[in-house]
Formats: sequence, structure tokens, C-alpha cells
Amino acid sequence: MIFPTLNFLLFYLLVWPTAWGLALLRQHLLHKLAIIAASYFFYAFWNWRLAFLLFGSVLLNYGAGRLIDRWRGTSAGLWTVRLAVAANLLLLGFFKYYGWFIESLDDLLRSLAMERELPYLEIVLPIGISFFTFQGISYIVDLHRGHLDRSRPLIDVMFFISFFPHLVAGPIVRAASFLPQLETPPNPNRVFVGLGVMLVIWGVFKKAIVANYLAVQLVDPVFLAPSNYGAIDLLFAVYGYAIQIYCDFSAYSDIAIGVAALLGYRFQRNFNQPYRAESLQDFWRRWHMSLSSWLRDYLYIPLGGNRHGEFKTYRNLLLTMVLGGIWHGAAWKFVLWGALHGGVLALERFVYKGHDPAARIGRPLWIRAASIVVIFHFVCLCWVFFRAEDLARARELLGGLANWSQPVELLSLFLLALIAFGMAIQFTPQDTPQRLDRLYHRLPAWGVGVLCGVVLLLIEAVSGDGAAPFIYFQF
Amino acid sequence: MGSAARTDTASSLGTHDLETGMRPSRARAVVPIMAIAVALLFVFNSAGLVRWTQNLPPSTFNTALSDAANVWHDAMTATGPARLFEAVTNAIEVDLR
Repeated sequence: MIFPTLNFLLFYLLVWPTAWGLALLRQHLLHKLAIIAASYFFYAFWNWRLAFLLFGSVLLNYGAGRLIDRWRGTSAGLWTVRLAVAANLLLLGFFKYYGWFIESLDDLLRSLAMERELPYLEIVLPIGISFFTFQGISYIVDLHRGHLDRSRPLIDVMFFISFFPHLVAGPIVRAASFLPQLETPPNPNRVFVGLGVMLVIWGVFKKAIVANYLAVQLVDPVFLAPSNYGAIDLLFAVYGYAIQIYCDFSAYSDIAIGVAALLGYRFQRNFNQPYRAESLQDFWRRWHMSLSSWLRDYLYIPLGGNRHGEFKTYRNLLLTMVLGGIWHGAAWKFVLWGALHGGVLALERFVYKGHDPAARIGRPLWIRAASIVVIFHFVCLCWVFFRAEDLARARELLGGLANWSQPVELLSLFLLALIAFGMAIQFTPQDTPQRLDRLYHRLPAWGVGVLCGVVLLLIEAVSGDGAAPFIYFQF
Repeated sequence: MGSAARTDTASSLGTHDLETGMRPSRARAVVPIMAIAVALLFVFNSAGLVRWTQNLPPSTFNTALSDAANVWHDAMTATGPARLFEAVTNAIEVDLR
């Protein structure tokens, strides 16, 4: 089930009144059970067998949490943390990387003339596995570090890991920030309705109009056969992909945050105008913030962070970003994507002696503008490897950027306008949501309903039939 | 101590920054918004409802649902909203070339 569809609308129209009805009747346990049941239905709608895997992941982390509590401060407790994290990673590794590992091993053995029969398996990649295993790890580590004062009941762990808005494509919700919300029922008098409605509509617009048109009319054909197109189509397909992936992924996050807000729950913000970043460090504070902060807190810092000298800081940055790249998928292109980001983050750190240039006050405007342009183009270069079918296709596209003789075939004024729009929204005032919230409070509820209905109808009219899956479903 | 640690963690993760400067409402404010928006979608985009029922797996219930959606769409076409929406869709159909 994906968000901007009638299936999801009907599902939510049942879940929302049930959840609030139970909360208003002070049936907190039933409220949580209803949302858990809805979340498993949401997940099983795609493949019911894999709902058992999700439940297995919940049981693993719940059980480990109980043991960590019991053995807190002892070596048995520490070993439980290590084993639970390893079990989560094994689960993720088996489903996500087993095929890649066997294929790479097969290639290696062939190149060494040592061919063997290897145990190839047909493995279905469970949707959202990267997200729910990371949340499981967050529960274990937050508990171990004392960010959570005690382990939580099975119902709460199930709710936290399986809650349908974030289940299949994030944001990656942190145990320490989410689980305390489950201790009392959501307050029906303190719901951020304006924020929720705004995020849902905005997300649907970005996904259904901007991301879908750019994907179908420009990005997909160009990345499928780069050699068929000239430099202008190739260049704008790369810009188009930068906007597409932002509008696609941030749309999912916006809808998820909005849908959860209307149910009375809070998630971490996931995007903050990433293409206005003035340094790569700044970019990673704005892009997929729930993943970058997860990698920082659960990988970079445990690796040593910047505490053991310059060389180890660079190594840790590189390693964190390479592993972050591999998190996206089992392919060398993601390794390269992560290595490029990690390498330039390390370079930035070396050049600026550990300070973030974007945080400096009083930088001349032209330097800030030039920094934004440079960082955006570097990020676009990395997106080429991220989006291309394989490294050969990425090289083909980059090589084609020198081919200025071929006429423009795909780029149109409409697509150009979408790219320009995607860039313009990176520079809107930071208080735009607050202004829109004030507008929401000035309108009567029926007026907001009519406005939402008309906007959704216009989006439907422009976008046409069908909703493509979100890009981050594959991760 | 535990609660202070939790608060610190929640703030540093930015869980509340989207809501800063925004006013909460009552949950029931969602009801008219959702009801009106959904009603408008079903009235004007009744063709979408028909397409949705056509993609459902075959069963007695789904056939009855599909028939009902067709009756609804015919009514909306006869009274005008579905025709209006179709006209708007055709008018703003984007030719990307």
C-alpha cells in the first residue's frame, strides 16, 4: 500500500477514527493494539508472509531489551547488546546482501580460475527492512546507553518498530524520542492539525507532480540509454534526478510525518532544504536527517568519531559514508556513492581544520552562492552513480556530457519549470510552514476542507492515473 | 535524571522543530476537513473510484462494489461534477513536447 492512493485513503479513513475513538475512551492499550493491527495490515498488504519477519524482528529486539535491563552494567548485558545488534545486522545482511555477496564471490573465484558451485538463493527483499532493523538497533543501543530508562513492554516495542507511517521508508524514528510518547495516550486537544494537513498535501504534490513527471519524461529514459541523448538532455536529466529524488523521498517523509501528526504522534524532521547547503557537512545536516544522525550516533561515534586524531577521523568519516552507501543497496555503485561523499567530507574537514565553513558568520554573499553551486554539482555528480543502472552506464552518461552536437530531445519548458521549481523551494523562507499554519487557523474548518479537496483534485487532474512506487521503497 | 536525559535527547534530535511556532488544535478539527475533502474527491473524481474498483481482485463483494461505483459515476456524470472534472483534466493535460 502506498501513500497517495485510494487504498491508503480508505485505510486511513478507518484507522483515524478508530484510533482517536479508543484514545478518547481512555482505552490506551486498545488504541495501541488497533494501530499495531493497522500497521501489520498495511505491511501485509504488500506480502503477508513477510509480516512474520517484521514480527520476528520485534521479538528479537524486545527479548534483547529485557535481557539488557536484567543484566544492566554487567558483561552479560554488554554481550547481549553486541549479539542483538549483530542479529539485526545479520537479518538485514541476509535479505539484502546475500545475493550480492554470492555473485561477487562467484566473480572473484572465476577470475582466479577457481570456479565452484555456490549456494544461490531466490531471496525476496522485504520492503522497509533497512528502516525497521535500524529502528531495532536504535532501541537496543538507546537502552544500553541509558537514553531509555528501562526496557518497554512488547506492545510498545511492536508499536515503535511497526507504526505504519514510518514503517517502509522512514523517517528512521529513534527509540529515545518516540517511545516516551507511548506512555500516555495522545492528547486530543493538542494535535498539530495545520502541520499534518499541510505536510500531507505538500507531499502528495511533490510526489505526484514534480517527481513523477521528471521521472517518466526525463530521468528514466535518459538513465536507461544515456548514449541516445546529447549533453543538454543528459545534464538536465542529472539535475532532474536531483530534484526527483528530493521531491520523491521528502514527499514520503512529509506524508509520514503529517499522517502521524494527525494521529497525535511526532517524528523527527527528515529534510531541510538540502540543496541550499554551503558545505557537504551542511548538506548532510539537511538531507535524510534521520539516517545521517543515526549513522553519526550509532556508527561514526562508536567508531571513535573525531576523538583519536586526524587520520582516524578521516577513516571514520569514509567508513561511515561507505557503510551508509551500502545501506542503500547491494551494489558497487552505492559503495562509490558513499566513498565519494565520505572522501569529500574528509577533505572538507582537512581543508577547514574541522570547522564547518557553512557555519561561519559574515561570509561574503558571493562565496556563499559559489559554495551552494559547487556543493549542489558535487551532490549531482554523486547522484549519477546512485541512479545509474551500473557503473558502466554512469560512465557512459558522464562521457556523453561532452557531446554538445546532438539536438535536445526530451527537455521541455515544462520540465525545466519543474526543475526550477524544485530548486526554488530550497530557498523559501524558513518560517513558511509557520505562516501557512497561521493561515490555517484563520480559515474555517470547512474552508480548509474545500481547499484541500480542490488542491487534491487539481493534483489528480495534472498527474493523471497511477502512482509510481517511492524510490526509497527499494532500500 | 532519566526524564531529563529523554528530554535532552528528544530536543537534540529535533523532534519538535517542525512544530515550533505552530498552534495545536483539537483532533476533531480533522473531521470536517477530511469529510469535505474526501466528498469532493468522490463527487468530482468518480471516474477514479470506478478505475479503483476495476483493479480489485474478482469476488462477489468487489463486483457489487464495482457496480455501485459505476452507478455513482453515472449519477455524477449526469449531474455534472464528473464531466466538469474531466473537462478540467483535458484542459490542463500537459503536453511535454
